[in-house]
Amino acid sequence: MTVEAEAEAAIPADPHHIPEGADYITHEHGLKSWLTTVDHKRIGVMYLISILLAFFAGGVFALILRTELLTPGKTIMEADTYNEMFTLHGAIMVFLFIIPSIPAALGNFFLPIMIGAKDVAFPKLNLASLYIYWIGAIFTLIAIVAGHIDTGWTFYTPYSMRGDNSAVWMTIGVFILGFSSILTGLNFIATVHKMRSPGMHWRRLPLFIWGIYATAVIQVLATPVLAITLLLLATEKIVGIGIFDPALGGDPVLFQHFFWFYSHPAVYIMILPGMAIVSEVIACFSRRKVFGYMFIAMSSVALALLGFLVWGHHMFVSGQSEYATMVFSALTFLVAIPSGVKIFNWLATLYQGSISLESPMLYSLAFIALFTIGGLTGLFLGTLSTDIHLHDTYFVVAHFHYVMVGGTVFGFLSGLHYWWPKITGRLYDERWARVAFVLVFIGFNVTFFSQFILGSRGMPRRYYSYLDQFQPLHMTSSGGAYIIGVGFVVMAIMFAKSLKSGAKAGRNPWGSAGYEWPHPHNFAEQPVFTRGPYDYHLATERELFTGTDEEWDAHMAKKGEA
Amino acid sequence: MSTEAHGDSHFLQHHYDTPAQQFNAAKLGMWLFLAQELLFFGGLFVAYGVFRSWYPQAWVVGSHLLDYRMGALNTAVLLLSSFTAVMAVRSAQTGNQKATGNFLLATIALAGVFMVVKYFEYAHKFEVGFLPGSHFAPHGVGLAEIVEAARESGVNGVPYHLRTFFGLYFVMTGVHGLHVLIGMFVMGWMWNRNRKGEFSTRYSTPVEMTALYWHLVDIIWIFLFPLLYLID
Amino acid sequence: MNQFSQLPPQMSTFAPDVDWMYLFLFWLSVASFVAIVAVMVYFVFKYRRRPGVEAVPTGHGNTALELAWTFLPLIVLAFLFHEGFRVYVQESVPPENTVDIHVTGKQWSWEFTHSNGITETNEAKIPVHTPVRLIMSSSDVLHSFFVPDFRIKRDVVPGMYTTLWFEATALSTPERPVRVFCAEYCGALQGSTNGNDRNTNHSTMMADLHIIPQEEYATFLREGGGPPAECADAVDVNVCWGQYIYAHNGCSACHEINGEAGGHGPNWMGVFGEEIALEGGGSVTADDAYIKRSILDPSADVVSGFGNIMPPYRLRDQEIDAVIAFMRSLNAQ
Ligand code: HEA
Ligand code: HEA
Ligand code: HEC
Ligand code: CUA
Ligand SMILES: [Cu+2]
Repeated sequence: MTVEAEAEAAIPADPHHIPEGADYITHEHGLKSWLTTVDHKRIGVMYLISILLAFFAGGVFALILRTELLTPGKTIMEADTYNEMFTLHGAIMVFLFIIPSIPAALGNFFLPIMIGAKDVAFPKLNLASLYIYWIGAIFTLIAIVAGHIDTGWTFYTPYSMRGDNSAVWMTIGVFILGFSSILTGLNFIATVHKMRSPGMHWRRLPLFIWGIYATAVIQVLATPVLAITLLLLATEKIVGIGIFDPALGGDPVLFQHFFWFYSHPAVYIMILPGMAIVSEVIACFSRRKVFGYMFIAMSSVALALLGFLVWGHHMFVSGQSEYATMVFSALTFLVAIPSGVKIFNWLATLYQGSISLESPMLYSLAFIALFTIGGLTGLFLGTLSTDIHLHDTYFVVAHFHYVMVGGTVFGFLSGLHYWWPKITGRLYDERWARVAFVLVFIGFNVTFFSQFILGSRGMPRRYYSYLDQFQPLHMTSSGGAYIIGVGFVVMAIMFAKSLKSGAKAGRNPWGSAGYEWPHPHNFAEQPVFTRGPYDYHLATERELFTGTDEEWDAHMAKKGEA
Repeated sequence: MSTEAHGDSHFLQHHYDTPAQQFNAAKLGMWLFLAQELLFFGGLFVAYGVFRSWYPQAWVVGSHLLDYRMGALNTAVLLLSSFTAVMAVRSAQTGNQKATGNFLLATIALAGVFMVVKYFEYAHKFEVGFLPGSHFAPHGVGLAEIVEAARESGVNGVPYHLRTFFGLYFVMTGVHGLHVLIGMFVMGWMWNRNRKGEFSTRYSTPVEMTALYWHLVDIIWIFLFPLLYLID
Repeated sequence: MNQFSQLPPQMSTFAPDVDWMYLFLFWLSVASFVAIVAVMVYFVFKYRRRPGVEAVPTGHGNTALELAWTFLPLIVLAFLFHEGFRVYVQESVPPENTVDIHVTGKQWSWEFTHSNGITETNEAKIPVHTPVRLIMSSSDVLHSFFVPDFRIKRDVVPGMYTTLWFEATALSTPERPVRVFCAEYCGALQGSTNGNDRNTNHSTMMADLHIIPQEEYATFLREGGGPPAECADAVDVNVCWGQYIYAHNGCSACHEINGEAGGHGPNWMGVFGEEIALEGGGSVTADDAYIKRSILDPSADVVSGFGNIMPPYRLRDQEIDAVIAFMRSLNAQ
């Protein structure tokens, strides 16, 4: 039997086949059908809901933080409560929200569709990762409810060795979350390597996939180190093995090396998917193939690899050797290169495009501006002499919010707005989306730009109270945070209205040439790709048509008449 | 899209096009998992290296306190079990259902031997107070052993950081032991699936993946043994 | 401080170098940012979607352009690294003949021990125009010694010595001493109700450096420290000094002196000379010896109803006498 014949014959019936007229949301009903599904789209949606809840929780903690910081002394809570608040804010935002955000939610939904696969390589494992995520979240909740967890998201020893055992619950929770992340990454790598449809060669891979792929590599290779670190930390705390606790001859600086060996690469787990979305959105709203496609793709891989070599830049003042400090500083600068390459190529994509400014594009353009600020201030921190002054001040807080919120969250929101019609089948109210954008954008800059100034002037982070001279800037920052809050409320209402009463979306509301759009959901038959995902000049009129199927029929009928 | 042509294509999951694709994906997935495992243990090896270079005396005395004969026995047992695991895969590939089951059982039994030997090692350490970190409190025979080990390795007195050595010893062998237990459990599961006739010459992927995992567990021990028991 | 300045006053020899680098980076960033956003806004406007105007297909890119923007930034980056590293090396290699001061960080205070053995808590005399080396360690968790005015910072690690050096370039005034902050998170007392008080948690773990003329410091090293200047014409110098210690060494964080309940440690009013019940039974008379012991080794006798949380303080005999005098004076009120 020939290979083709065997392939032909072996294609089995799809047990999850979605009948005509139904879609992945409506073809089965009931909670059970969701909790036992192996459909990557449903799993993606469940992730999306989970991370939005986490973001909401983290955001509420942030608003509490900002409220406390309105006045130098006590405003609404005591010092130790404040310390719990920023620990929970940081840990929830990082481990429960931002790391799974784009890959696990949007990635799960779109990765298989964009490469023409029916599902990810291991659908059951995919569902298992979601359950593992939930279990990790429950442990984190236990730590919050049962105890007093005030170590900061970095869990530095020996402080984390003290206090009650809620730190153990928290570390176990994060340990479990780590495995969820590893399994998701593993699944995606296998999917990208083995599940691509004919014609989907590496040079045609959508940039979103390249970004998620590079992210997955970091997830698989860096997260286990965090896992073992947290395991050692928990064991140290419970039985005292003497590795990190100086009272037993251990070394707290070693803990920091272990922690950052994961957590620096983790910042690229956060930003690469954001960049991946921006590449898609810029191409779509400029109607043009991304300029320097291969350079953007390779810069993602370069960031993933270089990211493993710079962890020591978080430890310039920790007491690590001067030699290590020198090497880490030098390598840190190299990371700026691939980031710059992306920015320049995005700009070049706009050149001679046909640009429209709907909300996804607004978020992506904002990403470019805000990430540039975040990245450039990263250079202040990579430079040794200035980092000595700025380390552990609000300058660092501002830096990482510019990259994580201005970067990743804006990228995520861009993707959410972009793919919302595909996920829900409905359109949202573009005017309100823009109102929310403006509020979030302004609020964000007010909140965090003032923090750069605070930090340069010497305001340390994780401070419950501060010198009177810093109050005006702190109040400005808090005011900005409330504006962000209002912006998100507007956005939440806007999306809720779309779910309830939004107009039915056509197959391709933005007129994108991307593969994920033209087909109702996954491809019914295995597709054979004959053009790249950004080849607008090769896409058919049907593919780029923005209206609903009925409108298309009407359109064709009219054409026929003419 | 007919499924009738191949009676045994029920193992082909709906989202794959060919059995070869499904097998390759599984294999890649497993290798990625193993890479992940290596980094997981890598953290422990780094900690080992760091503390070894800081507290060489404690490490020398520590390695003398471990019973290399038991370690060697366990190494032999695990090597043998890797062999039986390979044989299980081969039997599965050639469709010899009975042999597959037997080799799986043999592998499980050898893993069991490994755990029993470990149990005796641990029991002794617990008894004489060679406990990790803050619990380190050698007494009776333990003290005599330390004096003896220090004499053999030419170290004066009892190095303070022996407690760290045992801390790492227990974590490293403990995490490895946990992997052995998980391996036994998975092989039991494979044995059951094999009994129900789920594997054939066309489909033996799960057995192969399990064996890959088992080789990793084996290899890690091959590193642990000399590092902990032998070099000084 | 200049209302608009981004950086604190320059009080050490490092500060000008660091600030130069900071401002260089600042203007470099402003220039890059403005350029990027300007191009972006221009393109968005120029190539906005209009009927009848199609996007021009991208084609195959431009390798020369790609290589240029990949490698040209390297030059700038190499320069940044080099300059930052140069100053860093100066900061890490102290000159010969430094004045050495030992620093101990603990939750939540700073202890400075001068070469004459005198220990100051949460404040220290520092000679101006003199290279000073700090030899630092922690007695509990991580802290970080951060002096914004000097642009220096270094973690203080238990079980390890870290060093830091600087040379102050100007005298400080009593109203505006050079402030030391703790920049590594080190927690807060649980259930604390006075979190804004000095030295009760990470955010208030501060110390004041008094930059004094070299001769004054030399005298201090020779003759030791007496009562502070502000006590010079007090009625009872010792009581005044005791009160100064109470306020400046962090005692006030835990001890009240008004006879009312509250606080983490016993109220000092009405303690001296009384019979004190101890935790775990027994009692002692609060005489000079007991007070001294309570300060140097608080865990020896723990007062009933309180936890063993007071850190030991290395006060000198004269200072302890002053504290005792102050406590006695409280009884007289
Ligand atoms: C999304 C997450 C994210 C991203 C992408 C980054 C990106 C970068 N980060 Fe950041 N960082 C964090 C998240 C992130 N960081 C977090 C969370 C912390 C604090 C953790 C904690 O302590 O709690 C931190 C802290 C941190 C520190 C430690 C600070 C300290 O504690 O003292 C340093 C030091 O080097 C640093 C550097 C950098 C650099 C150089 C980049 C680079 O990747 C940036 C590269 C981008 C650009 C440079 C801009 C675009 C480039 C151009 C336009 C090219 C042309 C420009 C020139 C040649 C000038 N970061
Ligand atoms: C992804 C990561 C992430 C995100 C998104 C944020 C978002 C925000 N962060 Fe946070 N932050 C961290 C990660 C993040 N942060 C980390 C890691 C730390 C360090 C912790 C440590 O030191 O250990 C930190 C620390 C930190 C501090 C410093 C505390 C200190 O050092 O003392 C401050 C202070 O201002 C702050 C503020 C904010 C604010 C105002 C936001 C705002 O942008 C938040 C805006 C969000 C909301 C206001 C939610 C509102 C939502 C709704 C109203 C409903 C919407 C619902 C739907 C859409 C369904 N953060
Ligand atoms: C972190 C809190 C804390 C700080 C700071 C502190 N103390 Fe105390 N102190 C206590 C507690 C609690 C007790 C009671 C338990 C004990 O005796 O150890 C106490 C007891 C004492 C006593 C015995 C009083 C009695 O009623 O018997 C003296 C004297 C004393 N402290 C002096 C000082 C001095 C002097 C300082 C500052 C230089 C100081 N303390 C700083 C918490 C503190
Ligand atoms: Cu000491 Cu923070
Ligand atoms: Cu980093």
